[in-house]
Amino acid sequence: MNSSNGMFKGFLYRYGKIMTAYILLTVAVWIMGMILLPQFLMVDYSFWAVDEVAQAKAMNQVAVLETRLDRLDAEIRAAQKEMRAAGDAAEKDRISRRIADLERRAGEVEAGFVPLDKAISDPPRAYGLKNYAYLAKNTLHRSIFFKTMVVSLTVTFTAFLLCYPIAYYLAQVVNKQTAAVVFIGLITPYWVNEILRTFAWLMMLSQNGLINIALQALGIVDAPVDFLNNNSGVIIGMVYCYVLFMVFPIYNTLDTLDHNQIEAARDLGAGWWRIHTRIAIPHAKPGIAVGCIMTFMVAAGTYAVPSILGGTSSLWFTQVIYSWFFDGGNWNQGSAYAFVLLVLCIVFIMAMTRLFKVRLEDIAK
Amino acid sequence: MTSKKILSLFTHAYVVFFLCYMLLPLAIMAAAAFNKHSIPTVMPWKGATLEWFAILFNDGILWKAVVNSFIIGAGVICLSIPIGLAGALFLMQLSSKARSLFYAVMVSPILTPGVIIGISTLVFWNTFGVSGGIFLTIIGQTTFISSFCMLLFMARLQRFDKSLEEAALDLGASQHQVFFRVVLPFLRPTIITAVGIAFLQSFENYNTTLFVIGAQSTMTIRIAGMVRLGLTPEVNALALIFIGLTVTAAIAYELKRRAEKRRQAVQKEAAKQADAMAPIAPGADMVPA
Amino acid sequence: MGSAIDLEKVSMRFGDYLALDNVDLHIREGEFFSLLGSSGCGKTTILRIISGFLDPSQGQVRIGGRDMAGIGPNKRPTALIFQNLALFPLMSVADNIGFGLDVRGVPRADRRKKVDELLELIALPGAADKLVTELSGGQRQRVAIARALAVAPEVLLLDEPLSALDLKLRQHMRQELRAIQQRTGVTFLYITHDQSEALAMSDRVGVMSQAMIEQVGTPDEVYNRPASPFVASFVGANNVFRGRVTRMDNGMAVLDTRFGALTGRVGEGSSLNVSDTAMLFVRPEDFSLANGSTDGLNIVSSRVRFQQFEGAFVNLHLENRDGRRDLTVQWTNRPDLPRLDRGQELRVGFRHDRAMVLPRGELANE
Repeated sequence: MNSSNGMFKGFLYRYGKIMTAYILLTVAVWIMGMILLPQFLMVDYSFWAVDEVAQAKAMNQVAVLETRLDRLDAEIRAAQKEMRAAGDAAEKDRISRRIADLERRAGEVEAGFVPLDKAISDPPRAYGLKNYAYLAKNTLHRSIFFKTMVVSLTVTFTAFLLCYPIAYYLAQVVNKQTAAVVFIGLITPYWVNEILRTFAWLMMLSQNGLINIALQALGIVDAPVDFLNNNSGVIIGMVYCYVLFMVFPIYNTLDTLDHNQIEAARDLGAGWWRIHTRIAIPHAKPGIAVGCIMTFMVAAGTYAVPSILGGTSSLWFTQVIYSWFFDGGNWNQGSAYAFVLLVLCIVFIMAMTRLFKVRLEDIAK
Repeated sequence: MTSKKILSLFTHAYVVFFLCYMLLPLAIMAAAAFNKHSIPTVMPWKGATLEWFAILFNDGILWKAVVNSFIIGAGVICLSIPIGLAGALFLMQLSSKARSLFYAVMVSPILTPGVIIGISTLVFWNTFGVSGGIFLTIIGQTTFISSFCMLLFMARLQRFDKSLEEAALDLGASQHQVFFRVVLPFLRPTIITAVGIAFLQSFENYNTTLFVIGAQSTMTIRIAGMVRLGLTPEVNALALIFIGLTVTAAIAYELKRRAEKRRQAVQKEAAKQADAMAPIAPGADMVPA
Repeated sequence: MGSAIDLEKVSMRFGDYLALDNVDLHIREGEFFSLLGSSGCGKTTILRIISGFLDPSQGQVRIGGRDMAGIGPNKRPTALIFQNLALFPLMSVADNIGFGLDVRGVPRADRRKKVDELLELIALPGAADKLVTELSGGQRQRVAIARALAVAPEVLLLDEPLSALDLKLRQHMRQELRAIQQRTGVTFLYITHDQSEALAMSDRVGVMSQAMIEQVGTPDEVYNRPASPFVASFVGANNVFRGRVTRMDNGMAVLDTRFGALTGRVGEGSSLNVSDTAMLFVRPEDFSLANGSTDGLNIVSSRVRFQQFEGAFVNLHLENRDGRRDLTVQWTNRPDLPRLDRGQELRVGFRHDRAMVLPRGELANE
């Protein structure tokens, strides 16, 4: 209490009243209203399902009430007919009293709809692990989940192998001028829309795309390879799309490595393999961790690449989530799947920070 | 010596290969924009044409989506810059323990898959009866773009010399005046960068937008639709324009950076010269012994 | 003359660390006052408390007689010159100098006039539209002073502003600071760890050690009549002889030391009795060769260890007979100085009234 009081005083002292109010309010709205509460609500969604039994019961009751209401309406109409036909006042009086009675009963029945309507539009919630159990039991979805995980790991690892030499080259080998030119070559594709980047590879990998033409011309294959209906297309496309998430963090750390260290190692007789495994890679660890985390996260969480480069037989987990929301109309189920994906990413982040002994703060880049 | 040469040759060959890998697909995509063939390809080449550009410019649906993208981009800028700035100022003022906790929460949107940001935003606002559309897209994108802005501001603030703030206070400025006269001008280059990055992120976002856009469309959503169904080289024409803009911007940025470097060198030189003409004591000789 | 700054029983605590311990300090209006101390002694803390960036844990701060409790740094009649100057890099020289006036809402024309006046004062006319980054180190220094003077402060606080300059420029800036102070008549409180700076510029000096002020006095008092062993050893070089008081007589004390019986003047305000342990201080420059009358002189027999030639001075390092204690003697360079060899026996002397006897205490370990 004392320290938070001191913190508040520190804010006032440094920023004054109005700025302090702006800072604290804005941060509170962002953290609560945009980050935490939406996430909590999604997790909450994932733990309940519509109580279908109660919902069906309510629907039945609605049907019963509707027939009852129809019958009352018919009786009222019949009575009104009688009324018009009726002669003396006493009879009219009797009929009108009957109509009033019928209308009162119809009103009662109508009132009975209100709770039922609510039960149908906002049905009772049954909390439990039903949505997760569904994923565990559904072999197709389960296999898609594991495939997403394995392929994302493959993409991450491949991207690392491709990127490390480039990052090292830019940071330690080449002069700043050349590096700037190479950087423009690297950044350009990064600024082009992700969809268009993927589309470029759709052109490369299609049946009569450049790669198949080249493979056939070289006589490596006889018939065009169907990249788009197995995972290879997705892997190639993802590596291409997300490679820069790997290059820049590694570059940033390698850039801070004093070149004298490498020369000292060389001077002491280390070969290039030793220089990398003993000097450069240990130094680049935080960058490698960040690169792997970012690449894995965007790969596992992407919808764009698999929806363009993956055929119908190679669905991605995000596509399953999407279909729960917008085709199946079951947000609870979709939320459960989304939460599983989130947990996968969190586990990966924790594993990487543990493995590379970096802190979350180092990820700020 | 020779093994070193081979290694160096191999490295350079690899860099060239890598650049080809990055750029060749884009080049081919761009080239196909001029092919008469009705599906996007460079082989077979059926002759050069500009008709795909004409079709692109007359594509009303696409341009409407582009307008939406700009509206969303503007909204995201208006929200995420103040939020990111507040976040950075907030974190800078915390003790290190509280800071790492809040920091983790505030960068988490960057480390969360975009689809999950989209889903949680959709689910949250649905409870208030707000369904997908431009407003929700702005909110969803702002959630994580604010984190990027915050990181940019933090990086800049870490280089801020706190004694400037104290000097201004000491000279009688109120905290307000300190912020608007000293801190904000210092942050100005970062604000410009942040505006650019926020807009680009928003413009090109797909994964979050997909879940919160509802029945509306943005350019990226529209392109994805075009790529998946009924593909014509119109997309290639659009891609070419994009690549052109990107390359121009990248080169302009690089030129500006070099100009800035030259300018700093000139200033340094001026300061050096000022040093060389060392100050003659003003009235120092008048000091009573 | 009134009081510019008064600190009454001011303490400052950072957690468990006591940065200021019950400090009393009174600085007179219009004087150039220096606080001298090594790093970590609390002098910067005093400065930050006076300028309002820190609230004291205990005690009262008055500036111009007014209590400053609860008054922020932007409301105090002080102006601070930062160690790194803290000039605003994005503003021109004129905007820097005029900043304090601008935030007070002074109209542009009046501001411009004042800025021109101050540029004149610091001898940088015509530099108004330059960028701070285009100035040399000394020019930046002067702009920082002008910026602080622009708000017409009652007190100017200077936090080692010269430490980043090279030696020559630093010596030059000393004169300049002193000249500006005398021309403007503003009270200067100057923080430094450089004793020659403090002695050369100040009307009065406060010597600090470990959260306390050891002595306040004119440069002459502090140097020639130190109040404590710390001040004696911190300000200037001093030879120290430890011993036991054997006789007290009319403000003079005789000490039994490893160099024999030595006599010195007892420091003002320090009470000593026979058989107390005490310290006798004597400056290297107070020694002379003892060959003649020994009246009123302490005589020390020693051996030459080595000699250092420094141009204007010669430093002579001597040791006592058993080689356990050494002393430093400084002579000005004269042609009649004797040639001395290593190991040569030498008798040197110093006058009784040039030696200072103080109760035993802590020394400054430089």
